[in-house]
Amino acid sequence: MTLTKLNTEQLIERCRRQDQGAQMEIYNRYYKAMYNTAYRIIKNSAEAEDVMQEAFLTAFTKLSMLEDSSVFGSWLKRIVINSSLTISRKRNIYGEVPLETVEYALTDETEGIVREDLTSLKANAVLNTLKELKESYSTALSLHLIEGYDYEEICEILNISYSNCRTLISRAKESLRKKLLVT
Amino acid sequence: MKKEDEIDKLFERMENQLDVFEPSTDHKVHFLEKLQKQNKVVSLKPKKRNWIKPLAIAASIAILIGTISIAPILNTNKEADLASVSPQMENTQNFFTVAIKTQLEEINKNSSAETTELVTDAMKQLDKLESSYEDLKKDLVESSNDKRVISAMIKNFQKRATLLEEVLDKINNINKLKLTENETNIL
Repeated sequence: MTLTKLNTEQLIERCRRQDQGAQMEIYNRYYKAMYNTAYRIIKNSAEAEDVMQEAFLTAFTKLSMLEDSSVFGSWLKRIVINSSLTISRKRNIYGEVPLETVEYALTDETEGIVREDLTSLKANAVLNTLKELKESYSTALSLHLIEGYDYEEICEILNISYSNCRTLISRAKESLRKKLLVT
Repeated sequence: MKKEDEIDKLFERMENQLDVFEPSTDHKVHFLEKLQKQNKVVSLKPKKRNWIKPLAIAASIAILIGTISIAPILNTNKEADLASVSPQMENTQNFFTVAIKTQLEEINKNSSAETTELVTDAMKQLDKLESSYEDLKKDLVESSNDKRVISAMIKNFQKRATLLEEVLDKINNINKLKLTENETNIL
């Protein structure tokens, strides 16, 4: 199949005509980024996978609402983020704790090695620490630092005021920095 | 270096390395199943919609026309109030009904054995005015909001209000006289 050689915009045009092959190719290109985005907010692998796949299905049915095919990626990401936030908020109402954040072993925080700086850190370590932060911090930071949204966009996504957003991110950064230095 | 910049730098360095998690191994199979199911549903939907949508629109239009054409017929059976003429007239009516109500309450509070005759007479007058107002309500519909009927209605309200005001005045006078009668003042 030559589908893999087509660029995203051409594929989206085919998706508009409900070409299943094109839809699968789009899925293959975007699933990993979308899955990780969802996972960083939901922190549960099964739920993140579900949200990610549902987002693709929603995107394909509502493709007619998307005028510019070139922004499909960011449009899809917003769908993923919004539904992930809905799931995570629902869980917060019921006071559920995602299984994967429960610690199975006691970790002594004071006896860790104190780092000089953050340059030697590995991606996995950063992500795990990010996951340990409280919900609002980790969500705000992954939106800001990983997905690359600016303050105004985050205000809109999280439905908070500009000043709240600034304080939230700056506190979250400080909290992450402290945690990263002690490992 | 500012502390926060450290974090910014860290994430800049790690750009494109942070998507480390993988969904379940058979996620593509699951997705293909969901996609096939959805595409089937989608391809069926337009046919159904073509029927339901115009039908729903037609039905709602029919209901709308029905209510509009029935509404005046229903209205003719009823009497129209001053309030139905215009929002300003509604205000006028509200103003008078409230004023009349408070005056009546005032009269009830201040009435005594000496004033009962006065009050019953006033109530008779008020009843007359009210029955003529009922006639005016019918006239208003028949004449389709004639200005003369409207002004007659307002005058009717005014008459009721002034009548009650006079009665209240007289009651207060009587009560005052009653008080001075019992005084043992020497002129």
